[in-house]
Amino acid sequence: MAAQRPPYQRLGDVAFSKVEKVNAELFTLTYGAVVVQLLKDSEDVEQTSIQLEKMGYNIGVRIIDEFLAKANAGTCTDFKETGEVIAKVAFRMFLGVTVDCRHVVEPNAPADAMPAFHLIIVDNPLVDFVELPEHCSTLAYCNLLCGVVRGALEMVGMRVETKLLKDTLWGDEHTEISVSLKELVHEQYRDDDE
Amino acid sequence: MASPAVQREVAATTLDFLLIELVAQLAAAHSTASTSQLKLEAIGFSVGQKLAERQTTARTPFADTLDAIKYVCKEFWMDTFLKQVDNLRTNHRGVFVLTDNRVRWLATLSPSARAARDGAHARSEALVFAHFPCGLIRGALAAFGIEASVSAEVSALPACQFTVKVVQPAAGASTVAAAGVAHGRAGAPP
Repeated sequence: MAAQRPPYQRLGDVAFSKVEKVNAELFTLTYGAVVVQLLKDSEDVEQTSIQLEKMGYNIGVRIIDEFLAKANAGTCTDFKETGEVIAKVAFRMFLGVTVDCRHVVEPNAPADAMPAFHLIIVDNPLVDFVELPEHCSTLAYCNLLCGVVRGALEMVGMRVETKLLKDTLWGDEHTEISVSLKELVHEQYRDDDE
Repeated sequence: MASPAVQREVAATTLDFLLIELVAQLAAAHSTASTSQLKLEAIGFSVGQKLAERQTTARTPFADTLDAIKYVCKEFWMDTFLKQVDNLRTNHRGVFVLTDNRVRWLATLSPSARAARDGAHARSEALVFAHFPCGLIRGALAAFGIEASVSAEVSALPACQFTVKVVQPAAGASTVAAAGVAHGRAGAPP
């Protein structure tokens, strides 16, 4: 029952139930066609991966507004919580799937090491119907997601580094994105000296 | 988690954001507007074709071109625009005019500052976005073996008129059948 689920999961369910929805196939096919077009234009797998990340970044910069306005997620106290909110609320709200968030601690990291987490997407709507042909086997097809997370977090004062670690299209059993915090950007308020 | 019977869904805004970024990316990557619009149309075409193919595998083939157009106006439109076409007109000679009073992607479009000052600019910007649905329609019809050209006209935002000119009707389809529809009849009853 909904009442017994963890709170963020419920928040995500509520957010998803409220938004207008479209057939996921339309989205998946559109994304596929976009990737194909980028590949055709740049004729380079590496470049396409970079371009996808850039597009994702630009989307993330905009999508954060939608998220903050509609998800009702509140303020996160630490980076760990940020990971939970992204995984359970944001992914649920926009893609309709729940994602697992795993916090990683380097075995012998210094005490002041920057925190990081991995997003584990088992049920990834982006990769439906997709198969990477031989010459594109290194393509980071889901790099768009990395960009979205990076762009969105940057808008709320967190500069992060994201990387696509695993992808079902590469033969892994799930898609995995690492998100590590690089810098907390504090907003500078200036006095109105008029 | 989701059983196969339940159709998978994503938030409509997710697709909107992807399209906004796509249009911006294409505009930045190609120097001429016509190239980027052609690419956008091509992306729409490939999506429309695949989507229509997947949706219609379980149904009986369309009897004629009009049948296919009606399908596009109702079910296909429902899936892509979350509503049905508001009005369908035909001249019985292979030209169909589909009017949608509120195209989702055009309704949420916020024209640039320059465009906002000038209504004509806003419309021309909307026309860029309209290339995607044009491609969708053309792709869907192509999936049914109908070759057509589709153009969009934006007179008053967010309404949009799509003109479908059938070049090559579906095999077995006759123009006589298409003539069976009354002129000016609304094609999308609820």
